[in-house]
Order: sequence, then C-alpha cells, then structure tokens
Amino acid sequence: MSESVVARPTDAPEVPEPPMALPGGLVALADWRLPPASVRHTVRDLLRSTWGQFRHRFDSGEHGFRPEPDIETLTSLQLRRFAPDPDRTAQVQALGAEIDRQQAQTRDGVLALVAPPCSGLRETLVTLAEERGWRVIQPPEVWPASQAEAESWWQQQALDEPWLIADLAGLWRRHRRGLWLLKAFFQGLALGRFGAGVVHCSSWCWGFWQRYLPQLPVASCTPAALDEPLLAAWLGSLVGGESGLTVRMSDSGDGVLPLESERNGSRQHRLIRDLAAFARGNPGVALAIWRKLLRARPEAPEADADKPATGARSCWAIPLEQLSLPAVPSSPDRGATLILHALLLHDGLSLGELPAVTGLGSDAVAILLQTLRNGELVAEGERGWQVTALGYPAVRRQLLNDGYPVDGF
Amino acid sequence: MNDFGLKDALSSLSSQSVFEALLLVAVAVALIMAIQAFLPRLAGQLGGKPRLYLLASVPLLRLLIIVATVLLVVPVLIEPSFENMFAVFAALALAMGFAFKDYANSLIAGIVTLYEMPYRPGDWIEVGGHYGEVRRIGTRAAEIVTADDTVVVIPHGVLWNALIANANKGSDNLMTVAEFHLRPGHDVAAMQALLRDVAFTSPLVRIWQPIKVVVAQRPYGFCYRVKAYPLAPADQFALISDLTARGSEALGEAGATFVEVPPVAA
Repeated sequence: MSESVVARPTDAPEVPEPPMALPGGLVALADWRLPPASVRHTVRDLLRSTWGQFRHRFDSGEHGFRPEPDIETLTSLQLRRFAPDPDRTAQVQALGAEIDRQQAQTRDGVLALVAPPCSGLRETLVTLAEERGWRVIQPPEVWPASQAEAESWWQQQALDEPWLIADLAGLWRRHRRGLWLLKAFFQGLALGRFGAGVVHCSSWCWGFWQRYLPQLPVASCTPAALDEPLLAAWLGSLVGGESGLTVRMSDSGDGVLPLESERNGSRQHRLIRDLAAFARGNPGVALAIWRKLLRARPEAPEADADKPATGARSCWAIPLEQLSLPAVPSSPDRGATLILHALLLHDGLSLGELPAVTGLGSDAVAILLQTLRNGELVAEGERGWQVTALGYPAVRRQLLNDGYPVDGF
Repeated sequence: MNDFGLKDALSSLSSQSVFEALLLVAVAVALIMAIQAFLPRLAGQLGGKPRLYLLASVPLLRLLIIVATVLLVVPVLIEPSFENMFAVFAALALAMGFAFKDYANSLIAGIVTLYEMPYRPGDWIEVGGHYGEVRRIGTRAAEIVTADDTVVVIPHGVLWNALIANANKGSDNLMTVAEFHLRPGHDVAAMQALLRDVAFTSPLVRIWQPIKVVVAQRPYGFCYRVKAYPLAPADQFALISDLTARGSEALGEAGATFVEVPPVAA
C-alpha cells in the first residue's frame, strides 16, 4: 500500500496516520470534502437521473429497483469473501484512538461525531462504549411533558462520568414538544453541567439543529470522506489487504483494484473514483453498491468460487451505469418525500411516530411506506423504518431537487 | 412613395413562394403549439427548480421560433433589400397602428416582458387584486391561476401603468406570513419563542432561510406575524395552513387568548 493511499488529505504533519479501519480518520466538519468524480460519470449520472425522474413518473406501475439476475451476482458466501462487513474490533480500536486525540483538543471533553446515514459509526461507538464502560444514554420511554421535565430528565442521567449518546437523532422529534429534550441538553452543555462524553449524531439531524441553534456549544468532527485511494484501500482491507483482491471490469477487462500505482500493465478503470463520488465518500453506501457491482468470475465454476480463500482473490465488476439502483419517483405530491425526509432527520422512525412529524394521516403514511419499501428505498429494522444504503443517494438527490434542507455530506 | 414601395416589393411574389411561406408558418405554429402543450405538462410532473426552468423556457422558445420564422419567411416572399424590407415593415406598422392599436400595444409589451421579465412562468404575482401563479405567457397576454383555480388573463399592456407585485421573481424563494391576533396579558417573548418552534418544526418550511416572528401592538392587543419560506412556492398555502393550525394549538396551550372578532383595519 502506497503512502498516498493512507495519507489524510487535511491533516497536520504531527497527526499520526489513521489505520484502514477508520480510513481518513476524523476531520473537522469544515474540512470535509466531497470526493471528485470523473467528468464522464458526472454527465452520465446527470442524464440518468433526469431521465429517471420522467421514466419513473410515467411507469407508475413499476418501482425503480430492478434486481440483477441471480446468475450474475455473487452468492452470499462469495460476498463474504470479496466484500465482507468491516472488522468491528479494528474499527473500535481506531475510533477510540481518534476520539481520544480529538477530545484532548476540546475545552470540556465533549465531542460530537457527525456522520451521514448508513456510515456504521453508531454501532462501532456502542461497542467502544461497552469496552470502556461509558454510560450509554438511551431515549426516554416516556417523552417529557414540559421543558422543565426535560431538564429534570437530563439531571437524572448522571453525566458527570464518561457517557455516550449513541443516537442524538433519537432524542428529538420534529414537533414542538419533541424539541424539549435536546434544547435542555444543549442548554446543559452550554452551562457546563455535563462531564466528558461523546455524542453521535446523524448529519441530517445535525443540520437541523445547527440551524435551530446556530452556535451549538459542542466541538464536532466527522469521518473523512473516502476518496478514490482511501476507498480502494478500505475495500482491499476488508479482505486482508488491497493487494489480496483483484477486480477487473466485466466489459473491458480494465483494472479496478488494486489501483494503478500498484498495478503493472493493464489500463486502470475509474470505477472506484466514480463509486466514491456517487456514495459521497460514505463507506456504508459505497460498500452496499460495491456488493451489487461485483460479479463472479465467468471462467471460475461456482464451486471454486465458493471455496474458502487461500490466497489472492479475483472477480469482476460491472460498470456503475449498468447498475439498477432504487429511484424516487418525482411527483408534485410531497407525501413520499416528507416521509423520506423525516426518516433521515431522525435516523429512523416507527410507523406510529411518522404522522406527527410529517403532518400526514396514519393511513396515508402506511400506504406510502409500503410503496417506498417496494421500491427498496426504505426498510424496517430495529430502529423503525430507515432509508436503505442503496436508496440513500437517490433519496438525497430527490430531496435536494424538491427543495428540502439536506445534510452537508 | 405613397404605398411605401410595397407594390414593388411584392412584385416578385409567386404562388410557389406563398405556398413555401405558408408551409414555414404552419410548421412554426405547429412547433409552438407542441411546445406550449408539452413543456408545461412535463413541468407539471416535476417539482423544485427544474419545474421553474422548464416553464420559463416556453415563452423564450416561442420567441426564438417566431424570430426564426420571420427570418426564413421574409426572404421567401420578397427580395430582402433595404427598400423592400422598409416597405413591408412600414406597411405592417401602419396597419397595426390604426387597426390593432391595443393589440399591438400588448404585443410590444409582451416582447418587453420577455426582455425585462417582470414576471415569468412559475412566478407568483399580484396584478389588480388578483394573486396567482403565472402559468402561461402568450404573445398578447399572460395567464395566472389563482389559489382557487381561477384563470385570470392579464394583457401585457397593463405592464405600462399597473403595479405588479412578484412574490418570488424567478426563484423558488417565496416568503409566507401567518398571522395571530392575541389579546394582551401574556409573555410576549415566550409567545415569540413558541411560534419560532412551531415554524421550525413544520415539515414544509425551509429551515436554511430566515424564520422570523415579529410582533406589533394593536388597539386590541398584539399581532404576531410568523415569516417563513415554504419548500416550494406551490406549498405556500399548505405552509400557512400548517403554521396557523399548529400555532393556534400551541398558543392556546400556552394560555394565550385570541381576539375573537377581527378588528377592522383603521
């Protein structure tokens, strides 16, 4: 792995290189940069999304997601070999070190980690809190009935010892009474009532509260966006090292992984660069799309591909443009986009909570959620309904087009 | 030169050239009608800025087609010398000046409209007490559709001497105002903070645009005005309704008393 692959784009010389478990490390929000895409991909993507708006409007009977034929995609065993889930243990260690470094620079020891949806940071933080014995603040079972009750609730949380708010977006709801808890929390922070701790916040939730309280009294940082070299190194590290995975384009045979600097001979395709830009540097989104792009090696029989890894692994990838991803149908009716926006603001909501934050009726919410689920845009998980990683790029783009406030990532 | 040389200019006219000119005009008319029918329908499928851009392109495309048609038709009918052009346009100007004075007035104002753009498709304007969205800008008049789905035709000629209020002027930033009239005897700062929360939590509001709550004292008490921007201009009435409904509920819970009979403005 070359030095440039792991170098932080915005770091100071004395800052140690972050490991591949947390590629790019944590950076200040102002230092976050969107990975650049190739011109060809940008133009194609623009045309594709424009056409998609009309196509899905007129093809009202079909949803946007068209699953690839099973014969082309990887089996679950192959996916675990070529694109497995990140190693949580290594992530926890890397994140812990980064948090220690960032917290040392804060005045009160309180650090906000802002991350876009599907980034996987929350789960890592919870594991870290368990390892270090931090107190994990959970949302109340019964929401406070007044601002005074909200303040009292925070006083009961014993925040003088190290603590973690794993999901700040779960501590508010976008209605008048739903603001009380976080108003009391930020007031407490401003008054220095709490000890050292870590706040994890969805970038959408953070965007709202930054506008509601322009001077949020907490130091904040975010995982660096994965650009082409970082993403290539990270995807390689999932299988034990970038040089351990060889990926070529299925249409041209051009090399995808490892990157050109480490390759000899064949031409380099810009798939990783475009993938990084399309996913906006979000590792969770990039990995979900990467898994859809990979194909089994045609010359390798299925049985061989399913064998446990013994050395270097190789497979194929289809062009990003050929991938059929979920799309949001454009419509003058705001129902679907109101739901999607609310889900992102709160990083997941239950069916019963959606009417209060969208202003829609519960029957309309149920019908729209079903439509969105059929389109693979939302899925129900342990934290209620959430936008899927595969659907997130289209959802964000549509919300931006429709005038909604979007996150900065 | 009593006929402005029109007879000489038209001396080369033949049935074939007239047929070609008519064909060109027919093609242009068909093209304009197709654009006027198709693009607004297409824009209706979209939201946000793409809709505004698409609507605004209709009159511009029509003007381009008309200009191109004139440039193509004139050389087909007459030899495009200075004398001939002068003769044709002078005759046209004279005829229109006498016979279609008001029509010509609106036509010229229509061209000025395209240049100065006091309003364009997608804008929300108020002219002569009528408030609505500009749906179509024709050669002679513009059509606005009010919130009650009434089409109001406004001749471009009113541009010369009427006051035109444009709420968004080509952008999708349109401020809405929801008013609350309260009796005295309450904490004004608390009510302002409460109404700010109501505005921030509306799902239809643009939170990156300013959200203000202003208050003024009236003989009957206080008038609170919540100023916010909807996600799109078309959401303005839904936003006002949402702010009014949730604001009234919140104020009632906070113990504020509404003025029961709206006072007549002094």
